[in-house]
Amino acid sequence: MEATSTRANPLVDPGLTIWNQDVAIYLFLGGIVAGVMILSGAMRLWYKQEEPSLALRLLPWGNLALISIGMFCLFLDLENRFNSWRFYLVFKAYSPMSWGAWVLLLVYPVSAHMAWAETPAHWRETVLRKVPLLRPWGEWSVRARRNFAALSIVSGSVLGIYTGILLGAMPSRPFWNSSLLGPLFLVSGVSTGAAFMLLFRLNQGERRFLGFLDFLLILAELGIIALWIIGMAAGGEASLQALKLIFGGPYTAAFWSLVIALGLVTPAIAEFIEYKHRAIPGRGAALLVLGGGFALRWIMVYAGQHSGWASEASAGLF
Amino acid sequence: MNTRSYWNPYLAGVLLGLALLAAFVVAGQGLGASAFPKRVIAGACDVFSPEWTAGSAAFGKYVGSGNPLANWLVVEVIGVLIGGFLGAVSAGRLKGEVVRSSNVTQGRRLFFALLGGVIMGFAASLGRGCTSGQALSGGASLAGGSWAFMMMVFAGGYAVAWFVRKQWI
Amino acid sequence: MDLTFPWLPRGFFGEQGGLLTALLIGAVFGFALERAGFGNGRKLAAQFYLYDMTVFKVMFTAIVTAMVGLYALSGVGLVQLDLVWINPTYLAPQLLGGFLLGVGFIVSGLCPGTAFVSLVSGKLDALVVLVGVFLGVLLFAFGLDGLPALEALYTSGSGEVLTLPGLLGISGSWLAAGVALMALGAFIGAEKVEERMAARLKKNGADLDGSRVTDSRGKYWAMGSLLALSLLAATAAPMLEQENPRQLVASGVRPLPLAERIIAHEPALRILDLREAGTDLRIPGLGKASPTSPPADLLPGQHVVLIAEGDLDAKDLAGWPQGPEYEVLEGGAQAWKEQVLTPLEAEVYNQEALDRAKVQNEICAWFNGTESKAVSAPPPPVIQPAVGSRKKPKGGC
Repeated sequence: MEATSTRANPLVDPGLTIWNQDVAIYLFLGGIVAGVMILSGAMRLWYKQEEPSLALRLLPWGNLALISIGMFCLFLDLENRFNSWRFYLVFKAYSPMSWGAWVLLLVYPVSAHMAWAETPAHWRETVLRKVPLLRPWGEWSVRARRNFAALSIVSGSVLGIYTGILLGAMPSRPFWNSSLLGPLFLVSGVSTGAAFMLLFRLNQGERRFLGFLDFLLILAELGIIALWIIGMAAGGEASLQALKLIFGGPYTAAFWSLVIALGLVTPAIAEFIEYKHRAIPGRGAALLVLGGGFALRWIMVYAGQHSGWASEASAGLF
Repeated sequence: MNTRSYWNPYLAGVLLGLALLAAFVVAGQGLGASAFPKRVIAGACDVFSPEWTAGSAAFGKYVGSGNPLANWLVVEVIGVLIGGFLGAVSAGRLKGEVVRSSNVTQGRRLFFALLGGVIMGFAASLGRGCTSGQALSGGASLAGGSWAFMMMVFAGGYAVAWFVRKQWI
Repeated sequence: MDLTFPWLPRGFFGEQGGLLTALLIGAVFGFALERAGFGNGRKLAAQFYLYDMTVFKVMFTAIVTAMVGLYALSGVGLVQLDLVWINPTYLAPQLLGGFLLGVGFIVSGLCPGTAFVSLVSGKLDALVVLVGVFLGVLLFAFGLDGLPALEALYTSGSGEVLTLPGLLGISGSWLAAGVALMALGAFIGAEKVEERMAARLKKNGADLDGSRVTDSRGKYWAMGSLLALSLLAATAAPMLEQENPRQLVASGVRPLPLAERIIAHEPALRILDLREAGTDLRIPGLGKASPTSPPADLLPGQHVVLIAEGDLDAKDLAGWPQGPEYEVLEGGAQAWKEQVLTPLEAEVYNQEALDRAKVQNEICAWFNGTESKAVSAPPPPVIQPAVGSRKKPKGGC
C-alpha cells in the first residue's frame, strides 16, 4: 500500500505483473453492478409503460450478491488481507484506492434499500410480520423508494467511473493513463449491466427498452474507444509504444477479435436488427456483450501492465 | 420477425467455397473447426499441469511455442461464431431450443448429443481433422488422405444411421 | 514486392495482423454455413436418411469452387502451391478417424464446425455436442499417452503430402474439371433420390424436417461456370509456361544499390556466387553455388542475389526451388568489380559528379577495407530468413 505508483518505482516498472485475473473479474463485476444500479434506478423513475416484471424487481438482490463476489476478488488480491480495514481510517482525496473503499461503503446500503423497496409487497409483508422490529425502517424505505432510485443512479455512476479511474491511478502505465478510461468503463459497465438484466425473465417492453439502450451504449463505447486510441496516437513516444500493444503487438488479435468484433460490433448489429424488425431481444447478444465486457477488462489489466514509460526496457517483451 | 428460408444449397456452397479459397490464398491453409477444442483443452491443461501438457503426445506440440490460442484456426472459429450468429439473427432463427424429432425425448436427444460429441472429439484427434479440416479443406486441395477420410465419414454415417433413426425421422 | 499468393506464409501482415484475417474469413464461413441450414441438426442428419441431401450439395459445391480456384490460380502462377499447407497423408488413422467421425456425426446430428454455428443459433443440443467434443479430445490425449496400440495407429503412415494430381499424374486443373463434371452428375442423381425418399418416408409416417430448398437450377450455373473456368485454366497454364518458363528470377539489381543493401545489413539477404572460380568480390558472407545444384537451405522469404561472370540467363536456373525471391546482379562479377571495387575519379568542375563519386568511393572503401573504417565497418551481414521454415505438423483440422 505504501508503494508510490509513479514511474521511478521498480515495483510498477514493466515486466512485473502485479495485478492478475482477480482484478479483471472485480472490474467486470463492478461494472455490471454499476450498470444494474443505474438502470434499475432509471427504470423505477422514468420507465412507466407497464407493471415492472418480477425479475426486474428482484434484480437489486442479485446486485448485492455480485458486489460481494467482487469484493471477495479484490480481497484476494490485496497482499495484506487483514489490514484492509485500514482503508476506512483515512480518506485521501487524491487516492483512488481510498475513493473506492468509500464508494463501496455507499453502494452496499443503497443497493440494500433498493432491493428491499423493490421487493413485491406481499413478500415484504411476510418478512415484516416475522420480524416486526424492522417495520419502521421497512416502511420508510418503501416510501422513500424514489429517492433511493435517484441515489442508486448517482452511486452507480460513481462506482462505474471509479472502476476506470482505478487503472488510471497508475500514471506509470501509458496504456491506462487516459482521462477517457473512467467514461469508457462507465459506459461499458452500463452496457454489460443491461446485458446482464436481459438474461432474466423481463417482460417484452423492458426487453425492447434495454435492448435498444444497449445498442446506443455500444455505439457510445465504440466512440470512446476510438477517441482513446486517437488520444494515445497523438501522445508521446511511450503512448505510441503502448498503442502498439493492440496494433501489431501481442494483444492485437485478442483485442480486435474478442473485444471489438465479438463483444461490440456483433451484438450491436444483432440488437439493431432486432430493433428494426420489432423483435424481442433475446439472450444471444447479451451473452456476447458480457463476454466482450470481460475481455475488455482482462486485456486492459494485462496489456496495461505490459506497457511502461521505459519502453526500451519493455521492448524485449513484445 | 418472420423466419427466412435457407439459401439455395448451390449458392451457399459457392460462398462457402469462396471463403475456403480465401483461406488458401491468404493464409496458405484451409479452414478448420476441431483445432479450436484441441487448442483450448491444451491451453487449459497447460494452466493446471504444465509438465503433463508439455509431455503429452497430443498436446505438447500446441504449448511448445507460446500461447496455444494465438493461432489462425482459433481466431477463424471466433469468426465462425460471429458469422453464424449474425446469420441466425438476420434470418430470425436465433431461438433457444433442442432440435429433435418428435419421436424422441429431450433427455435422450441430449444424451446422444454428448455421446456423439465424445466420439467426434476422439475421431477428429485420431484423423488429424474433422469435416472442415480434412473433408472440406483437404478435399478441395485434392489431398489423397483427405478424400479417403471424406469417403469414410459418409460410410460411417450411413452404417449407423439405421440404428439411431428414432432421433431424426 | 510481388503479390503472389499465399500471403501469410510469405510474411505479409505480420503474425498478429495475419490472425485477424482469420476473423473475416471465418465470419463468411460461419454465415454461409448458417444460411445453408447447417445450424440445424435435423437438416444435417437428413443427409443420412437421403430425403434432404443439402449437406452433400453444399459441401461438394464448396469443394469444387475452392479446388477450381486454387488450382487455376496456381496453374497461371498466382499461387505458390508449395507454400499452401495441404493435409499430409496418414492413411490408417485417417480411415478410422473418418469412419468414427461419421458415426459421431449421425449420433449427435452435428459435426464440430456446424456445432459452433448451431450453438450461436441458440441450439442447446449443440452446446452438449461441443462439451462432448472437448471431452473426446481430452480422452484421446489420455489414450495416446496410455495406450501404445493407439499411439502406433496414430503415428502409422508416412505423413507425406500426397495430392491426387500427383498420384494420378495429371494437372490439378484438368482433375478439378473432371470433379466438377462428376459433381454435376451426382447432384442430378441426389435430387432424384431425395424426391423419392421424402415421398416414401412421408408415406410411412416419418417426422421429417421440411426445410429442403428445391430450386435445382443453381447446380447448372455453379458447376457450368466452374467447369469452364477450370478448362480455361487447364489450357492456359501450359501456354503461359511456354511463354516464360518458370518466372523464377523476379528482377535484376545493379551493383551500387546492391552494395548499399549489403552495407545496410538488409535482413534475409543472401548472395551466391555462381562462378566456378574466383574469390575476388570482397562481399562478406558470400556463398558459393553452381547453377545446376542449388544450396539445400534456401528458404521462402529470403532475397537471393545471384552473381555470374556476366549477365545470367534465367533459363539456367531450371532446377532451383520456388519460394525465395531471386535477383540477378546486372552485369555480373565484371560489373561489380568495375563499379564497386574500383574507385572513381570525377571531373572537378561538376558538383553532382563529385558527390556521386564521393558516395561511390566510400562504398568502394568499405568493401576494399581501406579507408573510413571508423565510419562503417560493422561485421558482415547476418543472413537470416524473414519467414521461418514451415512446421509440418499443424493443428489438424
